[in-house]
Amino acid sequence: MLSPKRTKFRKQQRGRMRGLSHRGSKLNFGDFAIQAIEPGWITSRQIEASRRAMTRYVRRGGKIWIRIFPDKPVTMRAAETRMGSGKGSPEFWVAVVKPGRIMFEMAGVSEEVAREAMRLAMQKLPIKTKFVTRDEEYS
Amino acid sequence: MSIAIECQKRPEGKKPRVLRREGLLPVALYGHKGAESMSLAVDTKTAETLLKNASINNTLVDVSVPDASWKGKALIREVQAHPWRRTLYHLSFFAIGGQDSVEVVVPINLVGDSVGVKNGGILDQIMTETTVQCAPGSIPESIEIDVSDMEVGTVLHVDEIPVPAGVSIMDEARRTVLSVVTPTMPQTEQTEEVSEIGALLEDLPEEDTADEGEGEGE
Repeated sequence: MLSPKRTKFRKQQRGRMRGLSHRGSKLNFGDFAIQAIEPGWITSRQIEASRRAMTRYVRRGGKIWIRIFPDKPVTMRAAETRMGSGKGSPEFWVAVVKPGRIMFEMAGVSEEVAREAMRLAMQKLPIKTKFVTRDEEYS
Repeated sequence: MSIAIECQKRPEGKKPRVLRREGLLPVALYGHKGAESMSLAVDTKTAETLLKNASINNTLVDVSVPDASWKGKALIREVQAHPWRRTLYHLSFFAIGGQDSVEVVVPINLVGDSVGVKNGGILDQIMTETTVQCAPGSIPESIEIDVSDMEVGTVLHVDEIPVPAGVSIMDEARRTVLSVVTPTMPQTEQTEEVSEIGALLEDLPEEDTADEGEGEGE
C-alpha cells in the first residue's frame, strides 16, 4: 500500500476541501482515466483495491498510472477513551481529492476493456467518479 | 477545409461571468499588432462547434472581427474549461499574420504494427504530441512514426523522429517518445498479502512507543 517514506510531522489537521482541482485534471500519460467529480479522502487501501481490480481485469495487457498519493495521515482515538488527553494516533493515510482530479490512467487496452476495468475500480472508491478518454470534447 | 469564426468586440465594463450567462464566451486575440491584445466575445455554441473541428495549437482558424474591421489567421493558443464538466470558460487566439515562424503542438501518430507487440510486448507511447517550430503556412497536421521495425526492448527518442523539411522539434532531444516493453505479470494475491502483513508488523512497535510518549507529555 502507498504511504510516505518519512514525514516532517506525524499528525495533520483535517482541513477543508473547497474548490476544484485545476491542476492534475488532464490526461497526461494514458488514453483512459478515472476522474473525480466529488471531493473526498481516498485511503491507501482504496487506491490499492482499485489498482488490484484494474490489473486483475486487464490481466497482462495495458499499463496503469496512479495519479494520486496518500500523503495525509489520519488520526483516530482509541475506543472507549474519554475526551481530552490529546490527539489520537495516526491510523491510515489518505489522498485529498477535489473534483476534476484524474486519479488513475490506463493505456495499451481497448476502450471496452478499459471501461469495464475502470468501472470495477470505481466501485472501490468512496466518491462519485467518471470515465474519461483522451479525445473528450468540450460541451 | 478552412475553419472560420466571427467574433464581436467585448463590451467595456462587462464582466466575464455576465457574458457567460448571456451565452457568450470571453475571447482574447493577440499577436496581431506587437504586444497589443484585443478583448472579444463569441457565441458559446459557435466556439463549441469550432473546437469539435479544430485542435488546440495546431489548426489555423480564420478569425474575423467586424466591429474592429480585423480579419486574419490565428491559432487557438489556449482553452480554459471546467475541470470535469468541460464547459468553456475562455479562449485565446494567437494571430500568425506577422510571425515568421510559429510554435505549434502536433500530434504523434503511429503507423504499422510493431514486431515487438506481435511477439507479446506492449507498445508504451510516452509522448502523444510534440512541439514543433515551422513557418505559419507549413504546419504539419501530424507527425507519423513507423513502428513496424520496433522490437521488444527498443526505445525511440525525440531526435530519431522523422520530420518534414522546414520543421524542427522543440522538445528535448533525448526525451523518450515510445518504447516496446515486456509485459509485467500481476503479482499473485498470496505474496501481496504476506508482504502487507510483514509491513504491518514492522510498523507496529514504532507507532506504539511513539504514542505512549506523546500521551505522557499531555
